[in-house]
Amino acid sequence: MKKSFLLSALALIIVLAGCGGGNNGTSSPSKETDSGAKPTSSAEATSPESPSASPANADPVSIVAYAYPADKTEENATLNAKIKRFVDKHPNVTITPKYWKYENTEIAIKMASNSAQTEFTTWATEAKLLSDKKWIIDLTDKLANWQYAKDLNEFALAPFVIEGKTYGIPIDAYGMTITINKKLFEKKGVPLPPLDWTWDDLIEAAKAVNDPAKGIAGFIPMGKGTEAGWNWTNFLYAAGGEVQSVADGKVTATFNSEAGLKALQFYKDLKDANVIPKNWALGYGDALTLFNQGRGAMVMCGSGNALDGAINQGKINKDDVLLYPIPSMTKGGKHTGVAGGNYKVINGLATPDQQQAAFDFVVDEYFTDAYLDSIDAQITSQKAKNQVYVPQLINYWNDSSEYGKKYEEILAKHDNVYNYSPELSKLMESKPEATYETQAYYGEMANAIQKVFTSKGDLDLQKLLDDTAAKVQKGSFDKVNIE
Amino acid sequence: MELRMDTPVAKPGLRRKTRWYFWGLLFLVPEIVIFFIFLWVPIAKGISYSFYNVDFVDGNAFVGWQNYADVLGNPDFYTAIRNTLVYMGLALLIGFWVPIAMAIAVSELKWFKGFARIVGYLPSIIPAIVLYGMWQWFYDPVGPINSFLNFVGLPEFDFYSKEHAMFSLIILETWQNFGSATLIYVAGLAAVPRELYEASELDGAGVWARIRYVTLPSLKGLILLLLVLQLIATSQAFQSQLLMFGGGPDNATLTYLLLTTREAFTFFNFGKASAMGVLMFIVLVVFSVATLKLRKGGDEA
Repeated sequence: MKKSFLLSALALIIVLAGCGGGNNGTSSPSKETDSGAKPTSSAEATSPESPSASPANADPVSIVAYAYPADKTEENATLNAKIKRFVDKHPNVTITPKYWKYENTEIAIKMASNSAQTEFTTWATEAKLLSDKKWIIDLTDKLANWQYAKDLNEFALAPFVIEGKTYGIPIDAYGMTITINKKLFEKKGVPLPPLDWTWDDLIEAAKAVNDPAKGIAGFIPMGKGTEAGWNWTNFLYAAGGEVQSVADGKVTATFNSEAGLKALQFYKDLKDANVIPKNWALGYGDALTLFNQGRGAMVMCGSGNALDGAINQGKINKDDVLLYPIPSMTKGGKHTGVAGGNYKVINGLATPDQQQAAFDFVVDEYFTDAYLDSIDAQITSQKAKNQVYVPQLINYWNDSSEYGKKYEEILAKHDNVYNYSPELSKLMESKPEATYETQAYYGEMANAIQKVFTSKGDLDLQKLLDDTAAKVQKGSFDKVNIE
Repeated sequence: MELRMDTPVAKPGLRRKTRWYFWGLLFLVPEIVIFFIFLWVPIAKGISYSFYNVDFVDGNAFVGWQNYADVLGNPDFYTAIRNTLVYMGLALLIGFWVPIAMAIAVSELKWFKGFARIVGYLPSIIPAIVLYGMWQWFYDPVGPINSFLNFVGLPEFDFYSKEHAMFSLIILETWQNFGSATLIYVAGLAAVPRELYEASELDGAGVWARIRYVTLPSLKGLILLLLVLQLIATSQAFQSQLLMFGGGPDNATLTYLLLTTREAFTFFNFGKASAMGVLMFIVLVVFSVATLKLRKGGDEA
């Protein structure tokens, strides 16, 4: 009896497995051809007049917009106002704001359940991954019909241009900086390092301000998760290194170069000098929290993001935090750090009509006064809450353009706007993140970094790098197909 | 008045039986449907996905045993298995006896029994996210544990080192989970007949002899059951490993399930993750069958 039950259960599983497989194999491609057939007709129908109003008899379309968490009332109000202005011009479009913040660990689930917004915001690292999976669409044709496409900041746009096709529209971009808690330096009577600093300056400053007995670290590098690799890559770049090289359709790991060794040696020096937190297991949020709590004097982050959190959440006085470029390896060297940013992309699972409407909605107020007015309103409301507006270092427009000047005028009107020092912008050099399998590289590098942070005594750093490179090469880079 | 000899339901033979089965099955239908949708279909899909390259847009492509070959060729796979076994072993060594001891201690109490039970269960109520924040502070170099060690003149203990990371997690997990197991043991103890204790006391047995010869033998079945449950639960551990250490340092706390989640949600290799799930499924099924057989053998003996 039991045996027969087991057998029939097994048979059921096999049958189901067969069904599942068959379904997946056959139904999805038909969906693909379905959506593949439509774009031509709809693109022809709507795109020529896309930035202007839709024809009155256009088919109704409903899309989902990328909203903010409920407690961000100001941002959501701005979004709702934007939706209203758009819908007034395009009565056939219905837009529902929905909150889900892009996370690289959640996107697959959102795509599998087709519940991501029609347009959403993502990061510079994700371009290759999302476009490869066809989770976002190629915007090249749509951009060709948009009058402002040529005015987009090319540096900011670059990470989303892949093999000549554009997959995202930049919102803003950042270069990595080091944020310093000035108060901790003052408390210890330690002079601030020069802005044009070097790796040695960083270690010296960290040693001077370090106070392990009180749990204060000189410098807080991230050590947990992919962000550990992301942080370390700044030093790789500053030493003149590269993550990977691309030749003949093949990606090769190059971070185990001499530059990589120097960067890893620098991390080892930090560890040996005992200037980093004993708790190496710090993700992005953990590291910034420690910094906000005054338990670390320096932290590494995208432009003003750590500073923004320190002032507006950590309640550190805005005059007590300073921004530094990534230090140069030697005096007079380049202050190269990782560049990244936020991008608007269009969901690849939406229908072509929805995709067109979402694109029109995203770019509707790019380069318009309405956008500038909304920033103006946001700064005003932040002032009422005693908050400081920390602008991005790089925006979707060119700073020298007319539009850029108008933006500067708005910032100048307010006294609760953080001003970046002009020297900082002059010193900073930002270099885009690697294109292929970047997260896999970051993740594998995190292990190597943890080894450096937790091992006692000598370590063969070159071997560690070589092993890591070999593993990433075999496990990820070798599997990349470049067309 | 004529006496009816047969009951209305009691129709003779096959019909009666089928009718009986029909009603029984009807009551089972909701359960079968729910199990089917939320348990059997996902299991079947998991098995089928392990032979596919999963792609939501272009459709899945059949890749045969490729996912399994990739999984077995990944050195982290073996690290993860080793770590999981170490974790299971340490959890047994450090954590398994705690609820038994606690339950016996609580049941030996004369006063404050209810209070002790509640206090013991409290850690299980703390939400995970608060718990990890709390333990990060406990384990901090300037946190309470190390401050205390400093105070009594002992060297600082590095909870975050490669050697200690797994141990740190066991302490945390034991602290959080012993409450619910204690409750089960306390319930088990309540079922032990009082006469046994009285008889042993008359025979002059002290506390230890009572525990050794009455309490523990009476709990044997329960201990075995919870042992199996703990082994299954710890073999699937990944939450604290992920949230406290992210699997580090240098993969020292990378457990099997954490590697599976990493494959799925960091690298989006759902096929590979499914293959890992299937391998785990097979091991656990074999393990469950083996323990069932063992227990049956034990009972017969």
